[in-house]
Amino acid sequence: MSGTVLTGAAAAALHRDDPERRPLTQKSLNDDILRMIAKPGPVWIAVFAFDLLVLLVGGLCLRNQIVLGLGVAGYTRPVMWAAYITNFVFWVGIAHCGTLVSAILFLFRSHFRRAVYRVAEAMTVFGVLTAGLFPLLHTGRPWLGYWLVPYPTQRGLWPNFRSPLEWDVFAVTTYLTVSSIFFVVGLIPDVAAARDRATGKVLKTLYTALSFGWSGGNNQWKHYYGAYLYFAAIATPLVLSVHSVVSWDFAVSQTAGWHNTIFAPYFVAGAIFSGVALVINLLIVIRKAFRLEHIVTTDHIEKLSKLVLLTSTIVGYSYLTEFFMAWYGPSNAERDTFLFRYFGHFWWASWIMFTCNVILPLLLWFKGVRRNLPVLFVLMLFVNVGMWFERFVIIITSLARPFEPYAWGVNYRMSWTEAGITAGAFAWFFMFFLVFVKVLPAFSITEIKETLPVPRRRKG
Amino acid sequence: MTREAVLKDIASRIPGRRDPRVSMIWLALIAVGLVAFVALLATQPLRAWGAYGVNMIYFLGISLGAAVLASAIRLANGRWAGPVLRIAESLSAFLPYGIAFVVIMLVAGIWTYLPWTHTAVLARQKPYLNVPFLYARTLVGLGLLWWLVRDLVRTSLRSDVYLLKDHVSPELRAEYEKLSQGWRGEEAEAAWQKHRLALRAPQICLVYAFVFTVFAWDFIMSLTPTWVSGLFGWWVFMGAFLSGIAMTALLSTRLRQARGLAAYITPTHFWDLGKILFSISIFWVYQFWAQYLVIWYANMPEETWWVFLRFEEPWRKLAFTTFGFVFLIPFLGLMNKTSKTNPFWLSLFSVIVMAGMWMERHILVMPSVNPDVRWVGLPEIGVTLGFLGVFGWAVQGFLAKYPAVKVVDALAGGDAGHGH
Repeated sequence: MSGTVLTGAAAAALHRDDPERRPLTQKSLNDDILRMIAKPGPVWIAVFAFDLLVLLVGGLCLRNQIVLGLGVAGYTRPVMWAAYITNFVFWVGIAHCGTLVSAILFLFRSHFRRAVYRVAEAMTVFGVLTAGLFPLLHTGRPWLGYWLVPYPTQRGLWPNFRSPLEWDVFAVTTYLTVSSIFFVVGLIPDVAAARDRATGKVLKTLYTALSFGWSGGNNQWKHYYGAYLYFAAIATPLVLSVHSVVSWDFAVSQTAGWHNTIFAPYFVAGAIFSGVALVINLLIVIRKAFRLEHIVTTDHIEKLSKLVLLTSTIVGYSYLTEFFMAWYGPSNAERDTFLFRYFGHFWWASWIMFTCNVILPLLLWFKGVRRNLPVLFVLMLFVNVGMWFERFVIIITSLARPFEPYAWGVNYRMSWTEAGITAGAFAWFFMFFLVFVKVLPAFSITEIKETLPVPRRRKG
Repeated sequence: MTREAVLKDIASRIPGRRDPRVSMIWLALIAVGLVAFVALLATQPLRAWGAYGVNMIYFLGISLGAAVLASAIRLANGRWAGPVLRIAESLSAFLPYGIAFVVIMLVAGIWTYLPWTHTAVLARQKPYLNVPFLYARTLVGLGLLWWLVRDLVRTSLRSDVYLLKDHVSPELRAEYEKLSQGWRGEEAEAAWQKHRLALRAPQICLVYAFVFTVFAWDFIMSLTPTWVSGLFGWWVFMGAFLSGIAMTALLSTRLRQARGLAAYITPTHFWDLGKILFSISIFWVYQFWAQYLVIWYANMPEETWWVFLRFEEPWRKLAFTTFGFVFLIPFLGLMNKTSKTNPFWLSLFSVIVMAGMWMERHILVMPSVNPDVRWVGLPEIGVTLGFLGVFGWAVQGFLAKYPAVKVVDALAGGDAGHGH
């Protein structure tokens, strides 16, 4: 008898040392999560200041480009789409994970999403906001961006609906709308909890507005859950549609290396791949920084890393199919493009892509790697390097090798302006994200509470 | 019900031997199929092998698709399927027959069926389009898949037959003893089973995707060696997955009634099966559209002809009917909850999807075999009935011997993991 007690006490002591087993109750959950919303500490301020500095550099580069023209962006005939479109596709891809985690996994009743979905959704909204910058910057005169929107004008200006780029306008704005609504709806009960604790006037007003008069009544919960299911159903097809439409920017053309029917599902898988990888990176940092290991456990992260493995496999399948089709199919241009891609001027970019997206993620087959967070963190960084290069390789190698051989040999080089704006985009994204973790509840108190045991007078 | 009562109840619902009347139906169908095939072979050999190829792909697809369903649910830690997993597994009983059909095709059929075996092959395609390599990749791929699926099914059966072996009729006992040989106690077995299934499930999904892709290239796409579509293999194997889901759903509704399994297979299971049927049907049309849009928009004659051939007479009606059966009707029909939970409606839509997939395999294969005449008619239905007979015979044999529901999950209460 005493032996069992000792073991129990020893086990409890052990749990106190293991941050993943810290006790979690109805009250401590609120405390743990709302504690994040506090006066920022020195580390946060330092990171934020650095972020703004990078953003400033990006802004100066943008000023440079606006004043001097798009020539400073490294565009050289025939490569007239380059880093900006790469960034656009990259950030749209990042934005994919949120809706996958919040809508599709919700419909699949995958409960592990509860602990991670808010971060993923926030990333989605900010990812789309970042992606949306690039088509505008790429036009050279971003202040005329509203020309993309179809509305009757006396100028008789009407966008070309047959252009896939115009489809993008619709796909991306729809996605932004739905993912923002989803994000805001999911926040309501949690923001209400924050509102009831807020002391500062500004935050109190913000939370009051965002909680839409939430009082937690039965009827409100009923409508809340109804709406959530409804939005999940609406958001699900968007996960497939947005990146499919983005892929058609390339696939519907006749350009070798772009024209491939596999592009739509392959891009969607790649987008989820990079999005989930970034979510893992963010979660690993947040759980460490805010001491939330008991809320976002290694199990949650392992499940996300299995999603990365699955999508990596799909991406690998698509690469192999592409090679095969290029070799086997009727088009000489296609075959030549693939040889150029892997052995030509940009061979290094292609091999970075292949290594980071297909070979390195093979490590995820090992449970030990999936549960080793430092290793996983580094691996996920490689995934996103690989996914950035995937878009780079697709866009640039195909454009650099057009049908007319006279244009060959003039090879694209990324300019400092483009590099600055690319870095600025990361800063822009992290600016939103850093503010988010300090202002809004970064984890869903509501949904995590559903998983907690109900306190009862007697056990059993 | 107590544990003992559940075990007794399930055991009492295992027939033990084939129902002779049903067996007669399968044998009669096989006879019809043989007559149709031989008659066609004597008069129009190309048409005969066309029909054979379509059904080989179709029925092998159902069987493998269902095995993948059983693996994919485990891979995703899905607990909703519970007892229904066994029904998906039972369809894999056709696999050895299906592979035998492929072997017959490889030995006797390809010389008529695959044009590149008897016409000139482009020099650069020769390393791929040659008979020895075709033999090797087809047999190794399907053999590996069969081995994996067989191991999955036997692993899944092992704990069930151990639990049931004291309750089943004496003629099954020997078989049950053999399958559960060397039992190491419930806990050790459960841990071993969990580990083994966690290993096999991803292996099957992965190998299936690659093997069926190559299978689709070899037996559909290479009928016209100069036409390619990157998504084609993926689309074909998702279609096979869809037909596997539809057959599982149909068989679940059927077995629930025929064997009185209402206590184990509940409308909630039908609801979930209906949802996955609905979603994969949408995925089918998504992948169709992803190919169609890209080909239509780029308008390159080397690929548009393949698509337009199927949208023009004499194939037009079949193409649009396929679209309606695989996507439009199930999309509209399965949208509400009642049609998913009600066994009649669910089985009706499953049959529609399967009929649609059967037509889809025809519209993929037949215009490439002979573009001018619509070779989809009574003789093809005859050949199909023959395949159906073999399929029914195989699955009947499995379900006569083994429980139709997964005992372990039935004991655990069946539909765990419901509610959001």
